[in-house]
Amino acid sequence: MSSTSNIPRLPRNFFKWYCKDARYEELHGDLEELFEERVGRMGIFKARLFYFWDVIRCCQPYAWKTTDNTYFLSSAKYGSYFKIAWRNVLRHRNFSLTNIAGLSIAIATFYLLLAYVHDEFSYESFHQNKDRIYRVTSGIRSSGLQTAMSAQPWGPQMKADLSDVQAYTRTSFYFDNVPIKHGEDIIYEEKLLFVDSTFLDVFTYHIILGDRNRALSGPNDIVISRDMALKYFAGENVLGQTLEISINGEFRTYRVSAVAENPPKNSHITFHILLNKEAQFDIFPQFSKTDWRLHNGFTYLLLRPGIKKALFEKLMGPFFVKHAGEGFMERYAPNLQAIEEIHLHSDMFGELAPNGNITYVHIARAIAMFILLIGCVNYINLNTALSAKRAKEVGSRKVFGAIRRDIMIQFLVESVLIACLSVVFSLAIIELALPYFNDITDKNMGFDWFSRFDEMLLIGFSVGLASGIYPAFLISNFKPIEVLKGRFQSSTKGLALRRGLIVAQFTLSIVLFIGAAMIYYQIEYIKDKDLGFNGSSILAVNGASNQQLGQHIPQIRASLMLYPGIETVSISSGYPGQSGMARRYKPGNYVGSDEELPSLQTFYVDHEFLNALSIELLEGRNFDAGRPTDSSAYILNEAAVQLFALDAPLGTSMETNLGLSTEPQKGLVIGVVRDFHFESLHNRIEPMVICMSRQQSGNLLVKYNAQNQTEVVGLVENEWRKHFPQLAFNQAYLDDVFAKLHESDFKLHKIVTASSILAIIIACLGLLGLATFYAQQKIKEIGIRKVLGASQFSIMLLLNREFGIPLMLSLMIGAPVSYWLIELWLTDFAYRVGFNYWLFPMSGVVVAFIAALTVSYNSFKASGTNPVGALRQE
Amino acid sequence: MHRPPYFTDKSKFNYMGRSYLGEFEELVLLTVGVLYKDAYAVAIMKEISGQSGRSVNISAVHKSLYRLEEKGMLKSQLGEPEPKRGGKRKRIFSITPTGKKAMDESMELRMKLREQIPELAFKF
Repeated sequence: MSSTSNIPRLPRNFFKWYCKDARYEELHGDLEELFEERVGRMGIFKARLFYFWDVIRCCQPYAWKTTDNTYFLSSAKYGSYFKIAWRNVLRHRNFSLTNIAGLSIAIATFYLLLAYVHDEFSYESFHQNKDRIYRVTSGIRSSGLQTAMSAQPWGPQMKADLSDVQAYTRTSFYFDNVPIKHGEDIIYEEKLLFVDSTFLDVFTYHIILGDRNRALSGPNDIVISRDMALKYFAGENVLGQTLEISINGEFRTYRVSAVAENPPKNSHITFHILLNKEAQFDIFPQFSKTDWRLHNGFTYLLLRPGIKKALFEKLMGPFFVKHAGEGFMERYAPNLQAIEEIHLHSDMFGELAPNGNITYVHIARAIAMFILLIGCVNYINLNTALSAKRAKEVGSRKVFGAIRRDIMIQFLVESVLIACLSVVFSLAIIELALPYFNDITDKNMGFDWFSRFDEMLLIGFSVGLASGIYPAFLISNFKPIEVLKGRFQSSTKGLALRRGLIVAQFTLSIVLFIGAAMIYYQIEYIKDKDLGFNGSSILAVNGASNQQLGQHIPQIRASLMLYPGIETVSISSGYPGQSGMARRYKPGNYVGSDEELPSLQTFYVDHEFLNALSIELLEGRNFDAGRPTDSSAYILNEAAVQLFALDAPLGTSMETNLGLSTEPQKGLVIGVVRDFHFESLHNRIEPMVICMSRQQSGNLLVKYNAQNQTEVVGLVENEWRKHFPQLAFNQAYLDDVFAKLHESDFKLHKIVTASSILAIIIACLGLLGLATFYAQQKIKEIGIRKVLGASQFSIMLLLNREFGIPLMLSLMIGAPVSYWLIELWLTDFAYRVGFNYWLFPMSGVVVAFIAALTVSYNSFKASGTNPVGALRQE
Repeated sequence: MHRPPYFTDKSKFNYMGRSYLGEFEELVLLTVGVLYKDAYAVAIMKEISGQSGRSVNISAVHKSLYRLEEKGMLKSQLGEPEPKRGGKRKRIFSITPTGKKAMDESMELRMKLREQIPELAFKF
C-alpha cells in the first residue's frame, strides 16, 4: 500500500483526467503493479520516470473518455464541414474574394521576406564545425578601428604554440579579373583565393574529385570549382590537368589536384579557384611572411571541441607578447570572431566580402510579420461583420443538436479553407514576383514550391486558425433563442474590436508610409548631397600593377589627350568609394611617440587628380609635375588640418613612412582641399592626405565629355590593350562605385516602399469589404433618411464617418512610432536629413484619401439607391 | 453533452466483412491462450517480452487487447482486487471461438504459403 503514495501526483492526475471511468480501475491497476515492481527493481526515482512515461504512452483513444470520442472522429462530419465551408465560400463570393486577395498578397509578401531573412541567417551554416571555427580579427587601439585582417605569421605560430588550435588556415583577398589561358584564348576569371593547404581541414567544402587530404599539398596545386572544371575540362579527366594563370602579369602553370562542388552562395568564402598560399609568397616576393604587424590577410582557426572563445582569447595576450614584442598588445587588440557572426554582425575594415546587416534583417522580419498581421486582421474584420448573416444558420444548427465546438470547428474549417486557397494564389504571386524580389535583394533564391509544400501548408493552417479563431468564438456564442426569434442585432457585436483592428491596420500602414517617405528623403539627400567632388563621366580602370601603370602613364596620357572627347587623364591609388592606403604622419610641431600617431587615409595621385575630380583647393596650390620637390609634398583636407591643429598649414613640414621598411620621407604641406566624401555618408569625413607618386597609383582615371561615353570607353580600352596586352581591362564608373556604398540603403528603400504600398492595398481591401457591409446593413436607415429628405451628400458623410475616427486615431499612434523608428535608422548616418514633420499631416491625408476613395465607392452607391427598393421589403 | 445517435459502433468496422490480425495482435492473441486463466495486460506484456526478447510497452498491449475484444476475438471479465495493484481489480482475457478461428486461419495461411516455397528459393 505504501507504494501507492509514492506515485507522482502530476502524471496520476493527468491519467485520471483523460482515462474513462470504466477502464480506470484495470488500466491504472496495471500501471500501479508495474510501478510497484519497478520500485523494487530499480529504485523509486527510475520507477517514477517510467511511470510518467507509461502515463504518456497510455494516452491513446482506447483509454480516453468517450463523451464524444467516436463522434469527434467521425469522418462523415468532416466531409460535411468541408462541404458547408465550400458552399459558404461560394455564397459570399465577394467577401471570399476580398479575403483571398488580401490574404494571398499578405502570405506571398510574408513568405518572400522570410525567405530573405532565412537566407541571411543561413550564412556559413553548412560548415560541419561551424561552432568551432573562428576568424582572428584585430583592433587598432589608437584609432579604435576594427579590422577583419590579420598578419601572416599569426596562424602558423598559433598552431605551433597553442594546443587548443586543431587547425588553421589563412586566406588572401579575392583576386579578380585574372587572365587564364584557355587554348588560344585568354579568359578572365574572378574569385581566385590563396589559401593554406589546411583550408579543407577547417572548412567543409565538398570535394567531388580528388583526394581531400592531399589537395593543395604542392605549391603549384590548385582546387577548382565544378563550374570551372566544366568550363575548362568538360569531358576530360580533370585531375592532373594544368592551367596557366597570370596573377601578377606573368603566366605560371598550376596543376589541378581536386575539384570542389561550387561553394554555397551563403558564405563569405565563395571561391572559384583555390591556390596554395606558398605560391602567393612566391609570386609576390615583397609580401612579408614574417611581419607580425602587417595586417594583410585573413586567418581562420578551428579550435578543439569544448574550447571556449573567451578562454582562448586570454591565451592570445601572452602569445603575442612572446612573439611580437612587449609593445604589441598596447597597439593591437587581436580577438576571435565566430564564423557565423561574420555575415550579419561584422562590419569591420577590410572584410573579404560585403556583409549583410542585422538591422535590415530585423526590419525585413518585422515588416513580414506586420503585413501578415494586416492580412489576418482583414479576415477577422470581415467575418465578425458578416456574423449577423450567419446568425440564423448557427441558431438552427444549435437547435438540431450541434454543440459549440462543432460550430467553432465549422467556422475554423472555413477560415482554413480560405487561407489554403490564398496560399495557392500566393504561390502564383511568389512565382511572378520572385525575379523582381531577387533583383531588389541581390539574391538568387529559387522557389521550388513542391518541396516547400509542408511549409506552405503550415502557413495556410496557422493563418487560417489565427484569423478564424476569434470570429468562430464570437459566432458560436450566439444564443439560438435570441437569434431565431429575430431579435438579434449583431452589428454591435465585436464593434469595438473591429474598430480597434482598423486602427491597428492603419497605424501599421501609416508607419510604413512615413518610413518609406523618410528613407526616400534620406536617399535623395545622399544622391543630391554636394560630395565635394564630381564623379560623373569618370572612367576608372585598374588591373595593372602600380609600377607598370606609373611607367606607361606619360604615353597613355599623351595619346588619349589627342581626342577631343577626353578632358583629363590621371592616376591615383584610391578614389571615392575605393579606399587608398593608411599611413602615419608626423607634423613638425608634434611631440610624442610615433606609436600614438593615428593612421590617415592616403591617396597617391598625380598632378591631374584634383582637376579630374573637380576637388576644390582652399589654400595653396596643386601638385606641379615640373617641380621635383613636389614628389614629397602633401595636400591635406580640412579634417586633417583640424586634426593636427595647424593654424597656418601651408609650409608645415611632415614626416611619413614611419615604421615601414622604406626610408622615412619628409616634405612640406603645399595645399589644403575642401573636405570631400571618400566614404559612404554613414561615416564622417576622416582626415586625409594626398601625395604625388607615380609609383603607388594603380588606377587610371579618365574624365571625358558625357556625350562621347561609348566612344571614349573604346578608345581607352584600345590604348590599355596596346600597353598591357596581358592584363584585364577592368573598368568602373566613379559614380557607380560611390553609389554602391549605399546599396543596402537603396535596397531597404525598395523593400519598405513596396511593402508600404502592399500594406495600404491590403488594408484598403479590408476597408472595401467592411464598407460594402455597412452600406448593406444601413440600407433601411438610408431609405428612411432619404424619404425624410436627406441629401445624398449627407448620407455619404454619414457612412464615411464610420472610418474617419479610426483613421485619426491611427495617425495619432502611428506618428510618434514612425518618428522613433526613423530617428533610430538615421542615427546610423553621419550626414542626414532632418525629420520632415510635414509627413505627419501628409501621411494622414494620403491614407485618408485612399481610404475615402475606397469607402465612397460604396457609400455613393448606397446613397444613390431608390428608397422604395430598400423599404418595400417589410 | 448531448450525443447524437446516428453513429455506428466502431467494432463493426472491418474490411470486406472480415477481420484481419496484425502481427502484434496475433502475438497478443496467442499469449492470451498460453497464459490461459491468468491472461491480463501486465502478464501478457512480460510473457511477450520474455519469449520474443523485444521490449514492449504496456500501452501497446492494452491497445491490442481492446481492439481484439472489439473484433470479438477476445472476451474479458474483471478478476479479484489485489493489494499490489493498489486494491484494484484486473481484467482477465480469454479467447472466443472467433478468436480461435482467426488464429487458426492465420496459422494455416502461413503454413500453406511456407510449403509452396520451392526448395530452390533457399539455395543461397
